[in-house]
Formats: sequence, structure tokens, C-alpha cells
Amino acid sequence: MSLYVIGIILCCGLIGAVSASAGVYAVLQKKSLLTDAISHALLPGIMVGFLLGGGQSPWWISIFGCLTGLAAAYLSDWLQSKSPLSTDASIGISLSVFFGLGVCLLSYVQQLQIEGQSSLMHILLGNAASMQERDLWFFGILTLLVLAVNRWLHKEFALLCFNPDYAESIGLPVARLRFVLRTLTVLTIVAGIQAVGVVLMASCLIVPSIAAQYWSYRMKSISLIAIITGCLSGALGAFISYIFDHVPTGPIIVIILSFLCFLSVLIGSRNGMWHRYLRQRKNESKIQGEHLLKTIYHLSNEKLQDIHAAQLRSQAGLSKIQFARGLSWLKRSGLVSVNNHAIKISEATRSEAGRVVRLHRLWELYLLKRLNLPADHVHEHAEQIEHVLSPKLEAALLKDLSFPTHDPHNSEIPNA
Amino acid sequence: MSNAVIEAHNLSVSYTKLPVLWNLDFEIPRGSMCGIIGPNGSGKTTLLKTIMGLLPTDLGYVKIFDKPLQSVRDRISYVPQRESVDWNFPATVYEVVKSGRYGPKKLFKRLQKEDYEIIDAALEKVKMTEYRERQIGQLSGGQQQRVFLARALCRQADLYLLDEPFTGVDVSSEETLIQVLRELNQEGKSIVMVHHDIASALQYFDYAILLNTRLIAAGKAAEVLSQEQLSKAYGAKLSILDAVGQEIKNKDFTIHD
Repeated sequence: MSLYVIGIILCCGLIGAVSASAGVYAVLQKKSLLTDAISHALLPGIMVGFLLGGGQSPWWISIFGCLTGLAAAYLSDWLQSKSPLSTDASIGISLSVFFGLGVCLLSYVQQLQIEGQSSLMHILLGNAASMQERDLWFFGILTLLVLAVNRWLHKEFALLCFNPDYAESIGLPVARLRFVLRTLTVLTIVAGIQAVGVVLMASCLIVPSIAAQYWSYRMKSISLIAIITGCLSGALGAFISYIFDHVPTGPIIVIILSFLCFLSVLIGSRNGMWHRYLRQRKNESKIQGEHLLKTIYHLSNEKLQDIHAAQLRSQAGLSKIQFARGLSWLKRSGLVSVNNHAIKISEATRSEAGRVVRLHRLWELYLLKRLNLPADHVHEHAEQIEHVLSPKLEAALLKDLSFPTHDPHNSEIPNA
Repeated sequence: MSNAVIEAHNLSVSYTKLPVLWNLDFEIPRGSMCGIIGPNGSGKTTLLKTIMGLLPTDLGYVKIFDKPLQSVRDRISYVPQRESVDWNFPATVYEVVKSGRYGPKKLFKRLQKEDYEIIDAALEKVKMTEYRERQIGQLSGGQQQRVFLARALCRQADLYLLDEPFTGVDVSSEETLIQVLRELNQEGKSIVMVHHDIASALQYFDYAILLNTRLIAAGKAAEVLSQEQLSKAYGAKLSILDAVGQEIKNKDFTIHD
């Protein structure tokens, strides 16, 4: 692998990283669609830059691309405030107007005989291999600059996304910060035009932070995870596109990103589907286990003798699977031990069982007293809520009901 | 020197071209505990935002501590409506409260040890220390409101403007909030808040502004919140005033100085 190829891979990694770091703010401001409009709107600017610069000079196409990108963003703002159009319509209109203009210019330029015009098609879908050495330096340094400013103003940008009114109230220069953030976003997209292309560049901004939100709820970690995701996808995409010649880089990077995002939705540690499934399973086991505890409470009658498993199951009215789950939850929690179908109970079992019964009766009483429900309506609901109540809520309930001794059905509430 | 903490003079404000505040004239004395009270859609939040410079005025002006807002911003702390932000935002309680120490002077700068002490004290004051690492979306309404108040406390201001701090708040949070605000008031700070519950208003405030797109009354709470004034504020809107506002919006007129 030559130094040039390594340079391309590095540059794409940087582009992935900076896109992700700018994208976090776009996603948190709920302005994902706007980045797509901006990236499409770069096209006419790039063409004008190409014509005026007499070839594919990164300076010319970047400067003019930047101008039309910003123009599209402000056009959509203006439409939103001055016309009856809704947000999505204004963004959609400015996207299509600028992109349409860009495509027209692209076909016009392609008729002309200017050096480098054949590589212009790469602006649409991106091809990292079309970048020359000076492009690598240019876009590499641009990404580093944008990344640096992003980090530098991080706390202000975060506040701007979370609560702009408040930011303004404490005297932050909100309008100027907004402009800087927007310019950074446009510059980020500009950095990716050759490697990723205008059509797909928005995904490089948006997808990493969506993926990252499935792993953390802290802004710092989200930014970091997004940046790593973007960086890896960029570098890997460039590498794959280098191995399989003639495959555009943009789509490959986006496929890798989408895969990582999908994976995060599935197994992310924060609200990922697998995580949620496990949590629900755990709740169910707890419900069955505590249900068994209550049955034990009624069966054992103060004496600590063994209970036969079959007797417990029929008394509790659980299916085989439910029973097995509940019993294994009890064993895992160290509340019972099972010896040859005989379930051994201890003081700890009794007191834990007493706790569940207490929660049930406390909740019945709460419904009766505070929600004024009739006594025959409270049992069903308490059957479910008893599993939800934490020790803290239990204490609050006890206090609120001034340490009651009997439930609405006049059964005794077991003491702690 | 005027004794007013806030002075509004002939203040008129429109929102999406519809006039929502008509020629308000009032003064709030320094050291007041003042409630801005009125029915839904009476322009309470608009008034607070205008005082905070977040909305442009059509006519008139607001002076704070006898000066224009820009020169006294450091002495004001603003608590926006709880519903105005997305609580699913990836931030912890601590991070939100921390932003109370940001400002134009801290731009590009890190917070100092002194700032962190102020933040800790504010969290303690609203009894949220044990929740400092929680994600803000996992908090109850009352806890969220306490987080907002803690952030405002970090500003160590002389005037506190709060937008419905008791909406969607449980009893014990409301007690904590009002206690903190009363303490501030006793230290001589001025408190001005939008409030929707007339029943508790007399108990909380010594001064009141009664509003229904126009000023109904401003003055001592006991006088302003009389049955007669309240029925004026909570009765039907003035038909002609309403119609004129609609006309201004529909025909694209603008009102200005």
C-alpha cells in the first residue's frame, strides 16, 4: 500500500470523524433534514467554482460550495419565518431548488472541454481515489480545523441546542454562535464532497449520532462514540473502495454506517432492543418470583417448614414455565433453596414475602384513601403495582398513610 | 433613582403578527415577590420573554433596575417554562445546572473551582444532590423544575424571573421551590413569576400584575386579586380589542414606534 493510499484512508477517517462531531448538534437540534438540504445545495456552488477556478481547485469549489450551502440554509430559514410554509416544506424547497440548479450546471460543464471535468461526476456519489495529493492536504487540514473549533465551543453549542432561550437570556451571542455552528456544518459537508459526495454526505453527519444515542445519555460520550463510529466507517469505506476498484466511496461508507447504526439499535446498552427485552424478562421473572413469595406467605403460616414444589405451583396458579422462571428468580436472589422438589424456606423468605404482601396492602389502601376508589376495585391494580414499588416509595407510602395496620379488606399489614 | 426593579412603559408586543400585549404600563418595586397572573393566552409568558429581551417589542420599552436590559443582564436570572425544552436531551442534572455558570465572560473558558462550589451549593439548596448524575429525562416534573431553579441560582442574581415554576409539580417539590424563593426574597432579591393558580397566589405574593392581553391591575397582591378585578381578567376578552388585533394580523399591518 503506497503512502498515497494511506493518505486517502486517513483523510476519509478524518472526514467521518468531523461529520459525526458536527452531526451531533444537527440531530440534537432536530435539524437533520437541513444538513441534507445543505449538502445537496453545495452542487451549484461547486460547479461555479469549477468554472471560475478553471478546473478542480479545492479552494474555488470549497468557497463557492460553502456560499450556496449557506444560502440554502438561510433560504429555508427565511421561508419559514416569512411564508406560511412549514419547516419540512421550506427545507424541501430549498434543497430541490439548489440541487436542480446544480444538476443543470453539471450537465452544462460536462459539455465544455475543461481539464478535470470527467471527475466531476464523483462530486455526486464520491470517490476517494479521485482526490489528488493537494486535495488530501486541503480537506485533511480543513477537517482538523473544524474539529478543533467544534471542541473549543462545545459547551456553548450544547447549551444552544438544549435551551436557546436560556442561552440568550444569560447574554451569550446566540445569533453569532448559530452562524458559527452553521458555517462549521457547511464546512464539514464541503470537506466530504470529493470522498463521500453531495448526495450521501448528510448520512455521515446524522447516522453516527443516532447510533451513539443507543449507547449513552451523556453528551460527551455520545460525541465520542459518534466520532469513533464515523472515523472507522470513513477509513474502512475508503479502504474497501480502494480494494474493489471503481466502487464509489460514499455509498460504501454509508452502508457501513447504517450497519453500525442498525447494530446499535439492536444491542445498544441504552434502550437497544436486546437490552429492553432482557429488562422486560427480568421484570417478568421478578413478578412470578414475588407471586410465589406471596403464595409461600399464605401457605407457610409462620412455620418454617418445607413446601412441596407441586403444591406451591398449583396454589399459585402458574404455568410450568412461569413457575420455573419464578422459582429460579427466588433461587438466584438467595430466598429459597430447593432439595428434591422440597422448597426450603427461611426467615429471609418469610420477611421478603411479608414485604410483598405489605406493598400490596399499602397500595390498596393508597388507592382507597387518595384516589377514592371503592374497596372492591383496588385488588387487581395492587397485584401489579406491588412489584413496582421501590423501598423509597414504600417508605413514602407508609408515611403518607401514617403507618397503617390494616388494609381495606381488614387484613393485617405485615410489619417491616 | 427609581425604586422599581422592572418598569414597563407603554409596552406592546405581537406574536406571529397578532398583538398579544396592549400598551402595558406598570412598575414592580424592588424586593417584591411578584406574581404575573391571568388566564390562558393572556400573554404572561410573552411578557416575561419580552422583559428578558427574547421577543421584539412593537411599542414602548422595559427598564430593569432603571437601565436597559443589556447593561444589567448579569443581575438577572431567567427560568424558562419547563415545557420549552426537550427533556430527552442527553444531559445529566449536573450538566444542566452547570450551564448556570456560563455566560459571555466564560466564552471559550473552563469553569473555575469557585464555579463548581456554587453549582454544588445550588444543587444542595433545591435538594437534588443525590440525583446529580441522573439523565434529566428520568426526573419527575417537580425534580426537573428544581433543576431549572438550581441553574438559575448559580447566576447569583438580584432579580429572578420564573415562568410557571409550579406547573406539573408535586406537593413536596412546590414546597421546596417556594421555600428557596422566599429565602432569596428575604435576602432582598426580587422575584417575579408567572403563576396560574389564583388560590395560592395571595399566599405567595406581596405584589401582583393581573393580565389579560391588557393590564387589568398592578399593585399590592391583596388589592389586585380582589374578586372584582379577577372577574374582569378571567371574564371574556374585550371583543373590539380582539377584533382589532385580528384585523392587524389579517391585513398585515405593523405597529411600531
